[in-house]
Amino acid sequence: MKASIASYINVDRIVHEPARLVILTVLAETDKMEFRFLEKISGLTKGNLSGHISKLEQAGYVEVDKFFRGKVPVTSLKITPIGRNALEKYRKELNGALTHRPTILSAIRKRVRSLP
Amino acid sequence: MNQTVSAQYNPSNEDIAALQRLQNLTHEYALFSRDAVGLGHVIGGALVFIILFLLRAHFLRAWEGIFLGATPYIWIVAKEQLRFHYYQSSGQVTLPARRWHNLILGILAAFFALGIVAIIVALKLSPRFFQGGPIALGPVRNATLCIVILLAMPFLIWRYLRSPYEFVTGVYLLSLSAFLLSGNLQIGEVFGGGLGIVAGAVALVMILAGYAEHMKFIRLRREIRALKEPA
Repeated sequence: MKASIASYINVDRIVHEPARLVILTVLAETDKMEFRFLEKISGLTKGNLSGHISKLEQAGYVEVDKFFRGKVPVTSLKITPIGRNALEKYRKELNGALTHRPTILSAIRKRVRSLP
Repeated sequence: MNQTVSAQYNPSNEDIAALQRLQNLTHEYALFSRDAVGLGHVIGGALVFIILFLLRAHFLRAWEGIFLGATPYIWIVAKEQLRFHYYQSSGQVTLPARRWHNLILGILAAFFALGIVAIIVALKLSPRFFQGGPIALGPVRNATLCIVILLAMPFLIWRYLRSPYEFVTGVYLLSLSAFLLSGNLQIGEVFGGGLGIVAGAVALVMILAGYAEHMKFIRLRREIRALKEPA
């Protein structure tokens, strides 16, 4: 049980953020995805989405490819194997936490009560 | 942030369900980059029926032969345009490559290589087989044209004919095209007979499947648009 609590508390904060979790989840379903589809499916604004993608790119979780189709600039995104592993690990930890939720909560309460 | 994922994030079963829904919508949309062709299937099926009608109606005239020979290329261009400008108009989303896809293509390439050898043998034994037709260039040139089309087939199949229906119909249309453009208008007996019945049956299923896919796409587009609307 202690391991479950620890894993829940120490989840990957880059993946844990809801917007980034959405981005990684939908990217994991595909090979490549254009920015404008991600904008539609996530419901995020362009600026907000760009910010989250930059963080994911810095962490090495996504690859960003920018090119021109005719005269139109296109941004294409792809989840990296590192990003896929991070998402899978996060899912397992979250599933474990949800399965043991009542036990985890009672353990946390006990710990809080024991604090001076 | 999406209406289905709470801003104050507290992972719950509802959030997981919302993520699952986004994942499913993305997957369904991405299918239109490969397996789902929608109206492209309907066009392909309709073209097969036009071909079967012409092959069975009478002995082909030259312009009809050229039209039939050009049919697979017209179809490929039409369905790719539809895919790009209509089904993937919200942005290109592609699915990962299938492992067995390259294996099937390898087998197919070997099969076409045998076909090319057969053409060369036929040219040696019976040059008249490659005479006449809509483009009468002489036996050697007509046979070369046939070989060029057969050589291009594995690439065309790999790049443009990804669903099982597209595969069957595409191979039928491309083979017909190769023989018609090589100067064989009499080939109708083969392609309009037993092969034609199989191609016709596949074309019928393809039209129905294409229509169902198109309706599915309309529902999918509505759902994706609804994601942006306030709750």
